[in-house]
Amino acid sequence: MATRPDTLQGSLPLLILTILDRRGPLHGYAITGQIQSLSDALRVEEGSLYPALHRMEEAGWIKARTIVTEHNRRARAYEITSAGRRHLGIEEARWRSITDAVNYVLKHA
Amino acid sequence: MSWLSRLVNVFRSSDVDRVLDEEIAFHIESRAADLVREGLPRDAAEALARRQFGNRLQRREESRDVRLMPWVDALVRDLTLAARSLRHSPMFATVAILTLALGIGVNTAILSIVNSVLLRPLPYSRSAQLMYLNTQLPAYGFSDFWVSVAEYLEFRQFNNSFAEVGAFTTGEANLVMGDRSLRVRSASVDTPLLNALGVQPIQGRLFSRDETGLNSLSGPSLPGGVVLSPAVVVISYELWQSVFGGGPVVGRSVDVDGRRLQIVGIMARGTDLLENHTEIWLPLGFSEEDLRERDNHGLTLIGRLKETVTRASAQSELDALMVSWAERAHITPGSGHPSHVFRPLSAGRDAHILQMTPLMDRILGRANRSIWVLQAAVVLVLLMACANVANLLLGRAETRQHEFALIRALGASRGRLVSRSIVEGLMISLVGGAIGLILARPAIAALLRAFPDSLPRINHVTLDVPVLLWSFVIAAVCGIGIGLVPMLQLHRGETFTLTSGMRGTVRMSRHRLRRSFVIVETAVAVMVVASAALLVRTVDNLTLVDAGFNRSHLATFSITLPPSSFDLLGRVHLYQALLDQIRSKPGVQAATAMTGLPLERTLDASQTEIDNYAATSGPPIPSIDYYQRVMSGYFETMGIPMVRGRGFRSSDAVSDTKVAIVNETLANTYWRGLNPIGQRLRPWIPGNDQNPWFTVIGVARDVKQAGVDQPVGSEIYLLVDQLATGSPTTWVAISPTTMNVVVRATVPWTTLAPMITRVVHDLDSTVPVANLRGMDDVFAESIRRPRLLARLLALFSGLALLLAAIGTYGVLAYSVAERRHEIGVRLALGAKPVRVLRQVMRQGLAPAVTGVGIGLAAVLVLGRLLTSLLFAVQPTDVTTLSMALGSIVGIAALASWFPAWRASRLDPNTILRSE
Repeated sequence: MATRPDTLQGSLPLLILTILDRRGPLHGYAITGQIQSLSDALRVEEGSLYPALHRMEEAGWIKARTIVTEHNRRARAYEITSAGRRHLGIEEARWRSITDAVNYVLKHA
Repeated sequence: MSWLSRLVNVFRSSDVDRVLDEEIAFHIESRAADLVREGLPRDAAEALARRQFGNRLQRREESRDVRLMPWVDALVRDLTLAARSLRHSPMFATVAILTLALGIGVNTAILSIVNSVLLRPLPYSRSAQLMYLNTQLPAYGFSDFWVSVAEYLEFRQFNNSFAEVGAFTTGEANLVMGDRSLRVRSASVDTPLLNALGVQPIQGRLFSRDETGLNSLSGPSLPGGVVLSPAVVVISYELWQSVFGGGPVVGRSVDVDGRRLQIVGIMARGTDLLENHTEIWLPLGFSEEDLRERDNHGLTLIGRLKETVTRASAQSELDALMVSWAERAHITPGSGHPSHVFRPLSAGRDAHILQMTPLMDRILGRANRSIWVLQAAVVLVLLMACANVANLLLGRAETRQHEFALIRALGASRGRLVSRSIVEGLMISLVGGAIGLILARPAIAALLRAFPDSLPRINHVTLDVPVLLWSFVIAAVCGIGIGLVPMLQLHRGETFTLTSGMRGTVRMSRHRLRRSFVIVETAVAVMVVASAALLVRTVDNLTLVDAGFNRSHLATFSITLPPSSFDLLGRVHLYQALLDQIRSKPGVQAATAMTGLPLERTLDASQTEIDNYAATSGPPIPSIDYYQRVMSGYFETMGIPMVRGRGFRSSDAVSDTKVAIVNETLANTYWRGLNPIGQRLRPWIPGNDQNPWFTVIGVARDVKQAGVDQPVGSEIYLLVDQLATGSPTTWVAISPTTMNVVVRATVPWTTLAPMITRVVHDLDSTVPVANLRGMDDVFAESIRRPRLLARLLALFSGLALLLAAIGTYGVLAYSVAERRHEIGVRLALGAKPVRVLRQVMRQGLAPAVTGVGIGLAAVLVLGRLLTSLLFAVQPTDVTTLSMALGSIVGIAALASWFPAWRASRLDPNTILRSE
């Protein structure tokens, strides 16, 4: 049976993949922190982060492993996979083309 | 994540939960820690962190959903829906499930026969390497003949293909234990045979090299040159259990045919030779004299091919051997014992070949065809069952039109509808299959009880794992098939509408589909019913065959007086005493005895000198197929009429002229155009060169010897009473050790049984009464296989007719219900009820007639596959086929009549008002 990625809504996966791609393996809380520190405008609803992470894990874009933090606490860290990088490329291009188009309309309409 | 780990998740959701819990707890803790670092008090920080995360439980559920396989979830939903919808229409569910239970049940039963009889390898190691070897004598019409000792030993020496070749003979023996005596089936085998088969004892040992074969025989010589094999015996596991109670027996002695034999071993469970039902195994030995009699054929061979040798290469070696045999054995072919040798088929009338068949094929014989016919019949029945259930589902799909339309409108994909339908089909077929399996087990047991030994290996039929798996696969295929049928419409691009009715083409296409089901069902029913009718005719014909004697009110049994306990004259005197006593009992009209029981005889094929025979067209050396040695009163008791001359008289017993009676076939074969009365012949007696001449005094009507469906062979009758009065040198070997007694009585054989057992026991308590039964039973047993086939096919055709009736009725009843309005209008406009009746009937019969046509064509094409199973009836027999077709058309008419009658009785007022 082929794995069928469940529909991912919004841009959260794009953000997660970008951050994991640039910053390397991070746990969920760190991902929230990263997004918030980069942009005040984008506020991740924390509860929806984990379902998104698990969906992405299932789609094979990221993989999880258990790490031990500096405070000696077990946590699940997520890491981007090569499939995830391919998907990131596609999503990024799609995002750009849409924003470009919207910008164009905003400017010229 | 792989589908496997997803599936694992379904069953391990607590683990998934734990991981999520940990992850969320970690998130909240980290957030709280950060907030504390920013200056908030601990408890306020934790509360805020939790609030920010949102509803923790709900999130967990959401996350979990992702990880479980959505289709498992959908499946559970579909199963629940299917179960609910079946529960809501119990009638439909019951009919559908029972229909498939019958269809799958009969398939399971027949499949277990196919599996146990045809497919399961023989219970020997690497049994595919085992070959059965026998001989052919084309000029005598013998295609399944034995091998002589010389031929056997030469073959062992000449061939390079076989790792081992052994020989055996089969027979019966008297076993005496204390005051109990019984007849057991025996196999005499040599050590190479045991090695070839690779059989092992579970206790003790088998025979050693010097206990079997050439030079294993020893004195004391009995009169008639009988020599004895070593006094050892191996018993079967089954005999050990039933007679010896499974106790310690190895080393004990047992009385076999009047000799004390030591039990040296117990054979492993289930070990047998072909279908002999062997109970004791004896050592097989040959004397120098056996070796010299090159044309005395009595052995059957089994060989094990070398691992590297294929059947084809062994066959070509065998072919080459036939050509070079005479040269290699230093024999100049000619007539007479010493020059008897194998010659290839190209030698024409002198041909005599050794031939080889895989042991499995030999055991199965022609049973193959019978079993596949049964399998085909049940597959057809299952097809009909599926068509019926599919039809029911189709009807339901129509009434559930609205429901489907709603589901579609609410956004369900077409795939969801199809999968729902398939799940429903699967649920029906798997529940039906399970019930079928439960029914199959007692059905098989009943079949084995009713028809023991009707097919080879049938007593070992079991319902095992491969059969269960196959039945499951069949049920699944049926389920998917019937589930898909209602969806066929969907894929024709039909749209479901939310409007209340369907009009026009939609209905027509549905009708075409349903009608085509009826056509297929009728066609299939024709095939099943026609084959059943042909087999029933076959059994009728076999039952009506004139066997040449009056078989009613005859009881029969056999006794054996072994040479070690009785001398030649003693045997004859005991037979005479036995008959005298039986004849004097109340209810007994006549009694006699003979060596060969009609229908169950094996070929004697003894060379016999015959006066005035010129071997121009018949056999090159005169040979008589059957020697029948009888006691006085034989022809009278059996009711065999004399065609010419006279029967034996009591004066013949003391006459010096040796007299013989021959059958019509013998007279026609050897004395064509001559008067057989007064002709002379000289029967062959082993080990005796000075045999007397016998004069023919009568020609008796032909009596069937080897079975009602077998041609009659030449036969000679000799009077045992007369043989007992001559000088010992002349009757020497003609005094039989085994006799079949027949009793004509006014009472049934069951009433005679206690008297017979008592009389025999009083004469000699070591002699068991064997095979006591009515002559009608002998006939019934001889046609056991066609009877099994006919009964089962009749049963299946009953099912087929029932299913065809239900199918026709269902379609028509549905169509009438649908056309209520139209019929009501027509009746209101003045149409006569009779016309409505006729029209509906026509509508019901049209597809049935088309189906009958197609079925008939199929029967005419495929019928020849049945030819080898039929007797005295052609597969295209007009009477039989018309009866079969008539019954199907009749059933269809009956099934159509009821809905048609109801249609004609509709009350237009009620209908029109209700619209």
